[in-house]
Amino acid sequence: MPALLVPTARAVGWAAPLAGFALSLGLLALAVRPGLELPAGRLVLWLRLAMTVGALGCAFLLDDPSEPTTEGVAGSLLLRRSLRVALLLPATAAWWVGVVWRVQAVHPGLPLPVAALTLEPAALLAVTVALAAAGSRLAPERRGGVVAAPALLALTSAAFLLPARVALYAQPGSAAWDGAHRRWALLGGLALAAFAAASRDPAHRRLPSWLRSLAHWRTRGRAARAEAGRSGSPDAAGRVERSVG
Amino acid sequence: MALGRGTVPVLHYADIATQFPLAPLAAAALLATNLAVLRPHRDGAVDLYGATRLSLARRTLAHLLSVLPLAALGAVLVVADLAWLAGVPGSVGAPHIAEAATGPALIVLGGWLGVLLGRVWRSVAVAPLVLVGLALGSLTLADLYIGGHDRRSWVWLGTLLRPVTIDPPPATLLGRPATWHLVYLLGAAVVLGALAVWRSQAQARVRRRAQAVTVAVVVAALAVTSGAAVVQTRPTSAALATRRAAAASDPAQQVCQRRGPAVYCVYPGFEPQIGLWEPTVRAVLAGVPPAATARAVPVTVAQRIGWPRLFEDEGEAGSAFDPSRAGDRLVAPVGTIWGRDGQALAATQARLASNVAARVIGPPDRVLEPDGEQPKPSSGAALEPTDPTPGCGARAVVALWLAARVSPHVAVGLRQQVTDPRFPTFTFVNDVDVDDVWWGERAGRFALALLERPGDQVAQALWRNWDLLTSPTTTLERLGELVGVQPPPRQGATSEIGGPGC
Repeated sequence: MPALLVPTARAVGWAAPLAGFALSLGLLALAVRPGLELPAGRLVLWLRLAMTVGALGCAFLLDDPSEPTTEGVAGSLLLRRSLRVALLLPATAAWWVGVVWRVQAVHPGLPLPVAALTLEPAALLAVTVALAAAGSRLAPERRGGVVAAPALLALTSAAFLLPARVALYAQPGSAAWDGAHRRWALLGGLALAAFAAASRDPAHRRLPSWLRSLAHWRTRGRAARAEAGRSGSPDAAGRVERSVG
Repeated sequence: MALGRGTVPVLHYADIATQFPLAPLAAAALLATNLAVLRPHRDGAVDLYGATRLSLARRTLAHLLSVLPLAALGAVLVVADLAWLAGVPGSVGAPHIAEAATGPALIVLGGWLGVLLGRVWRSVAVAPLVLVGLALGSLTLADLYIGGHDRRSWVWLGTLLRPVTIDPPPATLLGRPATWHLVYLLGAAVVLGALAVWRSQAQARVRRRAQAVTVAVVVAALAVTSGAAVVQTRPTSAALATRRAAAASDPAQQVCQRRGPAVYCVYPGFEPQIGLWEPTVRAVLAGVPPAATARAVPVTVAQRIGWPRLFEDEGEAGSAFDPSRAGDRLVAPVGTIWGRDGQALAATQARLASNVAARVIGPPDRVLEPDGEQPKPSSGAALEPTDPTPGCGARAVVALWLAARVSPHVAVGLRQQVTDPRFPTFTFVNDVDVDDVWWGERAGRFALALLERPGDQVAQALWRNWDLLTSPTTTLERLGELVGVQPPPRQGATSEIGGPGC
């Protein structure tokens, strides 16, 4: 695994996540500044907007056009992707510390439940990488960020509109706070599971038995049709070739 | 009070409210055009496109044009919304074409920015980051414009402006540089689009002359945009400030109509709202003994606007409130918005009903309340009632009970205000006018208790002792004896803010 570290660090596109973190901090510094009185609810809202911007950059963390060529090397896809996430963790931690520090420094009197709040960006980042991993199956050249970034924006917008009973973005001190953070923890766990499931190595995947028999049946059917085409008129053979091409 | 869907539309305000809901479409246009422009790069089809006769610049132009159907969809949505609002009974004003066109212009701006980003950077990561930077950056700018409505004119340089939340003034006093802002947005969009075309031409090494035309378009659009930016950020003109001050202090700026037992004074153009208020005013007067009605009629109902937030700053707005303008007869203030249902109707109808009731139970006397304290304002506005208001003592309970009997909405509005016992007094409105009555919290609780009793019994008891109960010196305890209801206890917590109040 240490042998994988350096190549992975080289392969990661650092620009997008780091730009996301920098943009997030810059906007927060502009919005939360000395001399501007903001109510506590608005401060928490800006914290959450900063989280979303930071996570948005991470949507492109798994983008790797060279992935098909490295499939043959040691280590599973999950391991390589986990390595990428782990390599970004120090920068992520520094970003989040910076965000919290900025709010605390400008509003020292504000009682901020930092531990519970930290759960939110953690779960959001887990959701982001899960989206990126799932998106890499849909997007060309496995660039999952194309899918993950708009999906993240849509999901967070929807999360702000959730009804109170299942709210994710609760106000500190409100009755919904504890329930919301149980939901955040659940969401983070589910996202990690989805990340792992979407990152199973295609090479080592075992299909369920009924799928395997179906695939077997289809290949046999196609072989039979090709056989029929070859023995038939040249016209029919051309059609088969075109439909294959 | 936020201008929401639950209010009777004021069309020169509703057109502003169409801009914010179109912002998601503009964001979608940005992301979608960016993805479309970068698709050949993702699919490895750049060389294939290179083999076609269509040049890169023309393909860029086609991408720019692809945004227009989406902008047309936005325009259709805006027109449909405004047409529907214009059909609502009691709607007033006329939409401003530039305000209505701003939403679709935002869509064009977003889409063309997406095209430019795709032509400059091949990474799909740029567009989402630029999008959140623009959207949140504009909101940051809007956050800085607390205080006056046009205190910081440079917020107009942002793309996404938060909706204004004051009661709508007449269209001529709004003072929004809507046309110039539209020119600014469209100019910026043309700059971005032309830059994208120029970039494609440069990449494909097109003839110098074709490039020169594009550069000329960029320069011209840039000049227009900067000009519009300068004009739209000019501070409020002195003429407009004078007209606003006149509208705030001069009753002659309003048109008055006598309808039945009341005179209604509105800003020109707001006449259709009178019909919405009439049933409430009549219902309040129906609960008053005929002799007392004869003394009070005609009641003057007049429109008031939250001028302090429209003006430069709260401190300077004080000059607009000239108590001497009131004359010997106070008016019952009503806002320029009226609720259609829910919370908005509860608040606006409670304000009108309670203010009319306050004018009916008698003019305010220049005698202090028995405990010698004047009620203090409960919320942010720095207005002190200039006279002892009729909001204290037995007659306040009578007035609130009269108002709350008008409709269940008023009762709901009263209950919402009274359930907050931190403040000794309350009103039904955020932008408090000098003529608005500050009601005692204890009087409100007593009125709610009276509402629980059969209405006819209470009405009989009140009518028998009308003159005594509407006297400023009659206490809640005396009223309690007369109607046979124990007055609610005084709450100790109220003494923290503004003294004992009532």
